[in-house]
Amino acid sequence: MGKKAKQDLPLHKVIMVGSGGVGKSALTLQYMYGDFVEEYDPTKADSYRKKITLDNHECQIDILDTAGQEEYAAIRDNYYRSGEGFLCVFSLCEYESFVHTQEFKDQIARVLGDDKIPFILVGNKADLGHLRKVNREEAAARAAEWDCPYIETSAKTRHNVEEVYTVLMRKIQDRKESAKERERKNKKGKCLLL
Amino acid sequence: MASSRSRGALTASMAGPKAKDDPVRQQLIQALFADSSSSTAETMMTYVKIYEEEKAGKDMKVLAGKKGSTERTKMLSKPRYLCLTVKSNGKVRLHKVKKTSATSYHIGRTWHLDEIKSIENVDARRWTVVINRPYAWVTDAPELKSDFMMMLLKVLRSNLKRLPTLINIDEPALATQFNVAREAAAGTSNRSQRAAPIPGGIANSTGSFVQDFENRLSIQTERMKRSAAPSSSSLNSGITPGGANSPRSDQSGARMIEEQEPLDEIALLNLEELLYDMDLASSEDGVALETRLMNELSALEMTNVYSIIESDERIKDVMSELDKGIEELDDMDSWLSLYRQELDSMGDDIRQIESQNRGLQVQTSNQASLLRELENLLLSITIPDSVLETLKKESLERDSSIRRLEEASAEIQDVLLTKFDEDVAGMSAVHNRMEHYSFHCDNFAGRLFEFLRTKIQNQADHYLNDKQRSLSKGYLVMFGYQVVERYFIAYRGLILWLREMDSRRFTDLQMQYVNNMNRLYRKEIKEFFNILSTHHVAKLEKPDDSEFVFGSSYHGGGIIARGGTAIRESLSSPSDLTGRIPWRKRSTREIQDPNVNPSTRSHTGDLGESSRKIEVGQEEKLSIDEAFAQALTIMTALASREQNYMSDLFTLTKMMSMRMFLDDPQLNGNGSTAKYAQLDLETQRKPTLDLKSSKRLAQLMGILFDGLSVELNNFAEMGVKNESIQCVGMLISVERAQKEIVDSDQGFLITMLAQLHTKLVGMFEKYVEEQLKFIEEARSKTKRKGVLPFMRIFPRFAQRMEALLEGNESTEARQLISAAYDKLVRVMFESTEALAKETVDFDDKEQGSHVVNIENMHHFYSEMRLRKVKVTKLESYMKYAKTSYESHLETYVRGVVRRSLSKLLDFFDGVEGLVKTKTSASEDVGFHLTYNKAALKKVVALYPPSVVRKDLLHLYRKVEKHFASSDEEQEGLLQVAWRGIQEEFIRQHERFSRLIRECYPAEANVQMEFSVQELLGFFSEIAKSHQYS
Repeated sequence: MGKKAKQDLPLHKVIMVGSGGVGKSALTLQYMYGDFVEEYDPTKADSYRKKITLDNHECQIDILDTAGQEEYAAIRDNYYRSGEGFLCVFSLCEYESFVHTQEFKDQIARVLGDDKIPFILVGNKADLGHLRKVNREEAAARAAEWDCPYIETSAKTRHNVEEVYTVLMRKIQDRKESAKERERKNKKGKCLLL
Repeated sequence: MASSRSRGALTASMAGPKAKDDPVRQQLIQALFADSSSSTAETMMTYVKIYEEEKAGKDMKVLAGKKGSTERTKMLSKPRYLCLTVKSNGKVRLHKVKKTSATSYHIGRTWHLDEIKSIENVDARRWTVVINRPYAWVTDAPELKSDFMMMLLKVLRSNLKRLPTLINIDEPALATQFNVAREAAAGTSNRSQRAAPIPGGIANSTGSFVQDFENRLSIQTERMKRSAAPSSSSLNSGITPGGANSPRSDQSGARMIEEQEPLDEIALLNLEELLYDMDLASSEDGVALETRLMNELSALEMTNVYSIIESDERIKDVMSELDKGIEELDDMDSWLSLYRQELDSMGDDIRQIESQNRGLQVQTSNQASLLRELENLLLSITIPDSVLETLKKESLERDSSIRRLEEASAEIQDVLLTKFDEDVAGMSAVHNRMEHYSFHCDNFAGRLFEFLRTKIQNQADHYLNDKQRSLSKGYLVMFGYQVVERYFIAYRGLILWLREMDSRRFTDLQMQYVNNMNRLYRKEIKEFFNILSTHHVAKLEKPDDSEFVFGSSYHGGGIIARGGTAIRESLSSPSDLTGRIPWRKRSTREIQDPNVNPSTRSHTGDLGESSRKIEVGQEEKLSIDEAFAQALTIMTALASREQNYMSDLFTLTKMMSMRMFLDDPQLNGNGSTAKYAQLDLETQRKPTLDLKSSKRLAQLMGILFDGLSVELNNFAEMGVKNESIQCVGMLISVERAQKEIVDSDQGFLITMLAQLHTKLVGMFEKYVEEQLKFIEEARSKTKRKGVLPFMRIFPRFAQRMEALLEGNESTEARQLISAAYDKLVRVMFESTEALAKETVDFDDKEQGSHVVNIENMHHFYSEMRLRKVKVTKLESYMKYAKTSYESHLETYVRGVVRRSLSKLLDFFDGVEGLVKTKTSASEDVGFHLTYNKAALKKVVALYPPSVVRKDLLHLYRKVEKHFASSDEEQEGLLQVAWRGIQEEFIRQHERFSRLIRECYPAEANVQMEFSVQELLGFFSEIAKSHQYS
C-alpha cells in the first residue's frame, strides 16, 4: 500500500525497540554521527537516514528510533509494520529491561505475523561491567531460543555498534534477495502454468 | 818634605842642647824614644812634668787655691811626664808617661794632636786639657807650663788646620814670656861670646833655649843667603823666622839679612836696654817691644825691596824687553785670531757643503725609489700581450677557454679599476696605457655580448621549434630549461665582469635573455593551459548546473556521468569524502615533493619531470579546481626557479665582484657542470634589502612571464564560468601558493598571486550574491512539496567547502566562506518559511505549511549533522532548525487531530475553559447552557466508533500523503508523525474522559462512545492494512 519512493538506492528500514533508557538513541546517534550523547532525553520518535556501503553496494539505511515507554503498545503497531529489521535492545545493567524484550519480540511477531523477520538481541552498556545484571549465558540462551543473534554493545565506546547495524542490514538484504528470488520463481511458475 | 825637614831641624835644635844637661829628658829619651832606626821611631821634642788631678772639681780648686804647698800638690797624684814627640813621617803625638822606677818609664796614654778638644789656662801652674775627657794638670813651675804650652800651641798651629778651643790663654803674653826668655838667653850667649855672661836666675831655665835660638838663627841666615827654595811650612807666626819660607821668602830673607846687622851692631845696645827693662819683668813691655820690632822690621823690608828694584838698571832693560816681547805676543795674538776667523769661515763652508751633500743623497735615493715606484706602477698596469690576445681571440665555447677568459678579463679589470690619484692618472704613460686597455676591454665586452646574445637567440629559436617539446592530450608538462640554464651559467663570471665593466651591455643582455626566454615560456604556458582546459578539465555540459549551485536544475544524488569521466558526488559516508576529492592528495604531494630531496635535484641540476607534470590519463579529466591547483603549483615553481636562476646568472641580488666570484671555489667550480651544481634554484630565498635589485628582478620576471598571469586568469574565468563554485577551490590554491612564497623574494609571484586572489574573491562574492538571488527567487518559483532544492544543496555545499578548507582554518577563504554561510542560511530559512506559508499544493494550507517546515528543517538539521559540518557560525542555525522542526511537528499533529475530533475538542476546550477561568466548581459546568448534559450527549454521539475508525483511516492516508508526497526520497517522517498523532488521539481521549468524570455527575452516565481499546484496535488495523515491502 505504502507508496514507494523513487530511489536509486535500496533502502533498508531498521527499527530500534526496547525499554526506556536502555540506549536505543545512543546507539543510533553513535552509528549515525559517531557521537555519544551522555544526557538522557526520552525520545518520542525520530527518523534517520544515511548512505552507506554495504559489501561494496551502496544503499541507504533508515533508522526509526522509537520511544521505549509508550503507555499502549498498539501505538507501535504501525511503525513495526514499516520495519524490515529490528534491533531489540536491553540494558545489561537492568534485568527488567531484559525481561521486557520478550514482550517486544512477541508484539513484533504478532504485528508482522512473521517470526523470520531480521532481528537481533542487543545487550547494551557493556562498558559498565561492574553494574552488570544480565549474564551473557542467559541472554545468549534467549537469543538461541528465538533463533537470532545476540550481540553485546557499548554505545559509549562504540564497541560492536557498527557491527550490530551491519549484521542486521545483511540479514535484511539477504531476506530481500531471497524474496525476489521467490517472486521470480513464482512468476516463472505462473508463466509455466499459463 | 820641607816641613818635616824644617821640623826635624827644629826638633833637633830644640832637643839637641837640652839632652845634654837635663837628666830627666835623657832618661825619657833613653827609655822610650831611643830607637831611631825603626820606621816608627819617634823623636821627643819636649816634655813637662805634671801632676794630674784625679778629679776635676771643687776639691781641686780648693786645693789649688792654696799656693806653694808642694806636699799638697804631691797629694794630688803621682808625677807624670807629658812628652811631645814627632815621628819620622812628621806626625806629632802627645804621650803621658809614668815613672815606674828610678830610670824606667812607661807610656800610659798616647794622643794625636787632633784629639785635643780644648786647652784652658787655669792659673799660673794649673791648666786643663780636654781630650776625650778633661785633664787637669799642675806643673812645678809656671814657666815650665808656659813653655810647654807655647811649644804645644806652636806645634798645634803648624799641624792642625783648626786649633782646639783655647780658653783663657793670652797668646801674646805667652809669646812675650817666651821672647823674654829667649832674649835673655841670647843676651847671655852674646855676653858669653863678646862680653861677660850675664848672670841671672833665668839662665838656668833659659840657657838652653838661648843657645837653641842662636843656633837656629845661624842656620836660617845661611839658608837665606843661599836663597833656599821656598818652604810651605807655616811656622812663620812672625816670631819664628825659621818658618819664613813663604813667597815672601826673599823679603824675609832680606829682612833677616837686615836684621842681622842691628842685632850685631846697634840692636845689641838696645837689647841691653831692653834686657834691662826686662829685669823689671813687665810682660806688657815685652809684647810692645816685639810689636815695635816687627813693625820696624817690615818697614825696613819694604824699603829694602824698593831700593833693590829701583837701583837695578837691568830691570829696566828687562822691562823694556818684556814690553817688546809682549807687543810681539800681541801681534802674534792678532794674527792667530785672524787665522782663527779664517778657519771658522772655512768650517762654515765645509758644514754647508756637507749638508748640501746630504740633501743630494736624499734626492738621489728619492729619485731611485720614485723610479722603482714608477716601474712598479707601470708593471702593475701592464698586461701581458698574451692576455690581450686571449681577450681578443680566445674562443667563448669551451670551459677551459672560458676559464682563461675569466682570468684575462679579471686581470684587465683589476688594472682598469685601479684607483690612481690625479697625478698618476694624468701621467701620459698611464693614460695611454689605460686607453689602450679600455679599448681592448670594450672590444671584449662587445664580443662577449654578441656571443651571448646570439646564443640566447639560437637557443630560444631552437626550443621554439623543438617538436619533442610539444604537448598533447595526456601529456602535460612544463619542461623547463635546464639545458639552457646549464649552458649559460658557465658565463656567470664573465657576465659579472660585464656588469662591472659595461653596465649598458649588461642591461641589454638581461633584456635579450628575458625577451628570448619569454618567447619560449609564453608559447609553452599557453600550450599547457590550452591542452589542460581543452582536454583535461571536467566541464559541466550545461554551465553552472551542479549540485552546488542553488539555482541549478540538478537535484539528484548518486553518480553523475560527465564527459566520460566519473566525478562522484560526495553524498555517501563522510569517511569516503577525502577519497572522493582526489586532487587534494595530489596537490599536497606536489607541494611537498620539491622538499623531499632538494639536494639530489640541485646536484643533478635535473628537475624530475613528474614535478612539472600533471599526471593524467589520455581521457582523464580533472575537476576545474584540481586542474587549477596543479597548474598553479607547477607554474609558481617554474617561475620561482626561473627568478632564482636569473638572480644567480646576473648576480642581481648579491653584492659580489668578479674577483670574489672567481676566488670563491664554492661558486666558481671547475666547468659549467660544477657551477650549475652549486646553484640552489628550488629553495625559496629571503627578500633582498636592496629595493632596486628586487624591483629590477620583478621587472625582468614580468617580461619573462607576461603570459602566465594572462593564462591563469583566463583559466580561472573559464572555470568559474563553467561552475562558479570552483572559485573557492582556486582561491584556496592561490592562498596556499601565497603562503609558500610569502616570506621570499618572489616579488613578481607575490604581486601576481595577490591580483589573482583579489579576482577570485570577487568571483566568490559574486557567486554568493547569485545564490542568494536564486534562493529568494525560488520562493515564487517552487510549488513543490518535500525538501526544497536549496535545502538539499546547502549541506553538500557546506561539506564541500569544509573539505576544501580542511587544514586552512586561518585563511582568508575561511572567513569568506563563513560569511557566505551566514548569508545563505539566513536567506534559506527566510525563504523556506515564506514558501511554507505560500504553499498551495496541500488541500489544507495550514498543515501543508507545517509539513514544509518540518521536512526542510529536519533535513537541514540531520544532513548537517550527518555531514559533520561543524562550523561555529552555523551552530545557532542548527539549533534553530531543530527547534523549528519540533514545534512545527507538534503543531501539525495537534492540527490534524483537531480536524478529526473538532467538535469534541471544541466542546471540551470550552468545558476546560469554564473550569479554569470561572473558577466555578466542576459540577457547575453541567448547568451551563452550552455545556449541559444534553449538549455533551449530543457531541459524544457524533463520534461513534465507526465514524472514528473511518476518520482515522482517512487521516492516515492524508498524513501519508503529506509526508510521502514528494517524488523525491521521503524523509522517513511519516512514522514519526503518525506515532505522534496516535499518541495525541489517546491523550485527547483521556482528557475528554477525565473532564466528563469531573464535570458531569456520575449518574448522568455519559461516556465517550469509543473506548481507548477500540482506538488502539483501529491503529493496529491501520498498521496491518499497510504492507511495507
